[in-house]
Amino acid sequence: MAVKLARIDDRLIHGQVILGWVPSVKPDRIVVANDRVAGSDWERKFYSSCVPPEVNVSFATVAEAARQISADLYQTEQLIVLLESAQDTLALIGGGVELKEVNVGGLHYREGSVELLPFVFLVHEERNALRELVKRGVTLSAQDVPSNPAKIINSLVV
Amino acid sequence: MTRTFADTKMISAIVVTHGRLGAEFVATAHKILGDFSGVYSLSNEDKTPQMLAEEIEHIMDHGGSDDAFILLVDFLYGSCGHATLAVERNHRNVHVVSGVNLPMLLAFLNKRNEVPFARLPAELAARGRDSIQSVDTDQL
Repeated sequence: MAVKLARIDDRLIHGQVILGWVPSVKPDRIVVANDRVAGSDWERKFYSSCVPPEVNVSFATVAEAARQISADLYQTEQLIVLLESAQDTLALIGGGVELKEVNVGGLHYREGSVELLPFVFLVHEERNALRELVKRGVTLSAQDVPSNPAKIINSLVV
Repeated sequence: MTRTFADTKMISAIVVTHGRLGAEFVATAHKILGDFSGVYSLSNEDKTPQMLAEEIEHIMDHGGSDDAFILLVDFLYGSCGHATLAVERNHRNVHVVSGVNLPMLLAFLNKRNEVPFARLPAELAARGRDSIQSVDTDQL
C-alpha cells in the first residue's frame, strides 16, 4: 500500500485538498473513507466533480476502505486517504491499514468542543481517539495546507 | 394540486462564500443601489458543510412558505457548494448559482421582480458570465 497522505478533515474533499494537497502530494487516487458519503449518490457525484480528471477517486465505508487498502487493491497507486474524524481513522487502522503519520487538517467547532488550534476543535470522544492513535505509534501532524508549517500535536492530546 | 414556481411571492438571495466575500458583495451592492431587503450573506469560515447548510435553512425559515431563494456561491467545488446543493436537494423553491460576482448580484436585485423564478438562475449565470471579458482598449 502507498498511502502518501492520510488526512482528518470534516469537510473531506474541498479547496484546501484540491488546490493545496493534490499539487503537493501528486496522488494517483483520492480515497474518501466515509460511511455516509459511501451511501449517498449525490454526495459521491458532487465530490467526484471536485477532483481534477487526472486523479482517480473512490468512495468506500471506513471498513471497506480498510479492506481495500490493506489488501493492496491500490498497490500501484499513490493515495490520499480522507477521513472525517479521528474515530474513523482509528477504525481504519483497526481494519489493518498501517499509518505512521496522520495529517490533522480540519475539525471544526461543535457543541462542547475545545480549541486545540484555530482549525482543530476536539470533543471528548475525538480527543480519546487521537490519544489512542498516539498510543499506536501514529504521529499526528496538524497542518491545514502544505504552505503552512506542520505542528506535531501528539503531546497535546495525551 | 401541484404548485409551480409561478406561485412564489418573494425571491430572496443568500450569498454563500469563503471568508467575508459574501458580506462585502452585499455591502457593496447597498452602496450602489441603496436600500433593499431579502439578501443575506453567510461565510463558510470555521464551519462544516453540514453546519453551513443548517444556517442557510435557518435563514430560509424566516421567509414565507411561498418564498423562493437563490443561493449565490463563490466556488462550487468545496464546502459552500456542498452545503448549498444539500439544501437545494431538499427544497423545491431553492436554486444554486455558482461563480457569484458583483454584476450577478446586481442583476439579481434588478430582475427578481421581473423574471419568473424558473428563469432567473439561468439569467443570473449568463449575466455573471457575460461580465467576464478580456478587455482590449483598441476593441472598445
